[in-house]
Amino acid sequence: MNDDTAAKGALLAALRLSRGLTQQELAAAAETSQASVSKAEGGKDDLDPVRWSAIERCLAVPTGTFMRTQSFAPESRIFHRKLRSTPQYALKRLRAEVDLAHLRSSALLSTRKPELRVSRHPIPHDGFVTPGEIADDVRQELGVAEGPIGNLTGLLEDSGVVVIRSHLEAMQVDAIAGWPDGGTPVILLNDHVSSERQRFTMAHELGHAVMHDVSASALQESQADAFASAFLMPAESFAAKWPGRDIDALVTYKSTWGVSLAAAIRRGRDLGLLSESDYTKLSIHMSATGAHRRELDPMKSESPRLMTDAIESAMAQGATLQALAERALMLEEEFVSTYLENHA
Amino acid sequence: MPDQYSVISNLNLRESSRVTSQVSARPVETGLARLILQDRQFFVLGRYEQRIVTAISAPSTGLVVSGDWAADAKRTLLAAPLAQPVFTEPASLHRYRATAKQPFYIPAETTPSFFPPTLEGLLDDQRAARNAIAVTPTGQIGVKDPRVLKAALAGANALERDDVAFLVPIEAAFLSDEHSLRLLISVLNRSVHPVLLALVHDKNPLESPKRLKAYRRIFAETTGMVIPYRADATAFDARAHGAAGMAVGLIPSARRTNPVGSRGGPVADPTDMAPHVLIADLLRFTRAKMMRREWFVDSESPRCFCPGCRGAAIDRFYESTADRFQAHLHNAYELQRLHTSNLGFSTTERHDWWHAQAAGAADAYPKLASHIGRAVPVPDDVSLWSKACRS
Repeated sequence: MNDDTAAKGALLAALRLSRGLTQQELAAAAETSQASVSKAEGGKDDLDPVRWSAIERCLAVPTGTFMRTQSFAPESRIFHRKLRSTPQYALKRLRAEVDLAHLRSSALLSTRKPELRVSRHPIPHDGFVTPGEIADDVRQELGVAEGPIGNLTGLLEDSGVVVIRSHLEAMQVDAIAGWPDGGTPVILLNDHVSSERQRFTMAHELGHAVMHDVSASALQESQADAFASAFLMPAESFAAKWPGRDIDALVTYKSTWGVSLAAAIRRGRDLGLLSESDYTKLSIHMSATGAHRRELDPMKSESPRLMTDAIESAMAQGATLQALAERALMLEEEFVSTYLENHA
Repeated sequence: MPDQYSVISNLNLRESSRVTSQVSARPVETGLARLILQDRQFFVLGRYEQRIVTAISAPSTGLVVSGDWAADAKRTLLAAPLAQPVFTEPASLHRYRATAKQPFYIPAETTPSFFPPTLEGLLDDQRAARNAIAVTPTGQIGVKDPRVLKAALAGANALERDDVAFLVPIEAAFLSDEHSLRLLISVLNRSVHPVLLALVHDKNPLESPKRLKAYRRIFAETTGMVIPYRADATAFDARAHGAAGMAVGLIPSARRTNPVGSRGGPVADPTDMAPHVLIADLLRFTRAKMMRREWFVDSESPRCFCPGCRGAAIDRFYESTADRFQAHLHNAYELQRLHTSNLGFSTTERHDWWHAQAAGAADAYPKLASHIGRAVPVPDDVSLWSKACRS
């Protein structure tokens, strides 16, 4: 198999999946056969330039995208936080999204890539090291002071993690994270969930990335939750000013820490600040009033800046929007809406 | 054995056919902690229960003395020809919060000396004071900082002696969080010494089914010797799931450990000094006054046929010292009977025995309700215990 053909095939599969198309749907739109799309994706057969152009139009990527492709074989560890049971086809699409995000961030951050300050902390199987301890270590590693984290997105970006807000609701996940060996970790966030949940999810994905090789078991999901909880609400400082069980005081407190009310009271229970019965009463209250679905006193959402700043800097130095969009394998319109709109 | 009570009939409460094969008395002078703790039921004695020592004479029992008067009490106890082991509970259990730097309470020197107090030295002193085993003076361990628990483990494991038990007093919140629980189990599995596991809480440390299940998991998933310490009837569930022995309390304050600085959670009537009485058929401690005023106002109260009660009514205990003593005596006899009735059992047999006890208890609640004409819900713990669960 020719390397170029294999790379083109892998990219084709990733772009097709990210558009939510089946091979059959793409073939029909590009007026070719499903078999030829399948062979091309498998790297078994190259297509003629006319067919590649037709496919590029269908996938809404710049002309010549496939002809310029020389390598595309990312091998990331991938993690995703499920909203409900995620179907198999969605899992493939998730991987494609992460692979493309890596490709795009590498292409656009080539000169402004922050130093990666996060390292791996594999968690032992026997429970002797808790996710909370690892969260404390990572906070220390990143130089986070005691107390609440004001801008989590900024902290992660400064630490070399790329954060991208994306429309992931169709795939029934809150977020996807990928971390290729020696590469830049990327977190894609569902922009349709509350800011509090986005922050918890980012910390959850960070937990996966530093602790786990794969995201599979319920235990690992629970470990990532515990990591996120301890990362955002470190035990000593969170307990120090714990307001008790008054709901109004708790709403104020959760806003201080930038977490959801549900996350705050659960942390309170886990740290022995709330009794089991008080925790149950508060949970029932939240459920009865709808506060578990709609966050009380919601916080302003955080906007990733890293990619936007890199693009603006490149443009200030003379790069054209078209050239940058081409690097990101996007048409200008999508490029602007993804990286430049609503990122103030 | 005939039905023990006239009203509440738990047919599952039968003496073990193997009671005659009880563990024989062992020479406690050896100080071998594992041998002394294995299969033994210790009674944690408060200030007013020491007189029941005559009732606690079975070879499978032992005594723990606690409180400010512990040293004097132990001297008194040891003055009598006791066959069973006695040890003193370290005051650190109630007065000291462990830290990662100093997990054990080691008193500061009042005057500088060549030989400042050490953990080894304190344990030597305990043994020199004729304690059957030495117990680490561990402070209360909070759930917030896992380093404290690990520091205590490291300190205990550094002790190269076999006459010591590692006291692990943990906040009950360890049982609320899966990862704290896994840490605890992992730490207990690393202990080279037998562990006395105490739960710190100002009310009922096992207040929810979640905590009850977590507590059970500790004994099911640990591979070393772990003893429920200052426990109630839950000790039997722990034993059915792998606990090597138990240390139970006759009065409520000896069945849990209050947090440092706390005198326990609010009680409905602090002036009510009527004793709590174990109704073995229900696997439940109930205040005698409550029984008189709410359960048996208009119906006959059950009679108990333990060696202390000899057919007297189970709700007859008032606030007097004499009545309280009689209630403690009853509790001791009943706890002892439950303990000895499964001695010599294999793990599977003990599990089945306990399941039968608990299922019988769950059945006894509707019978009681029918007798008194008002609802008596089955408590969460009895309900959980009654469900078969072979780990």
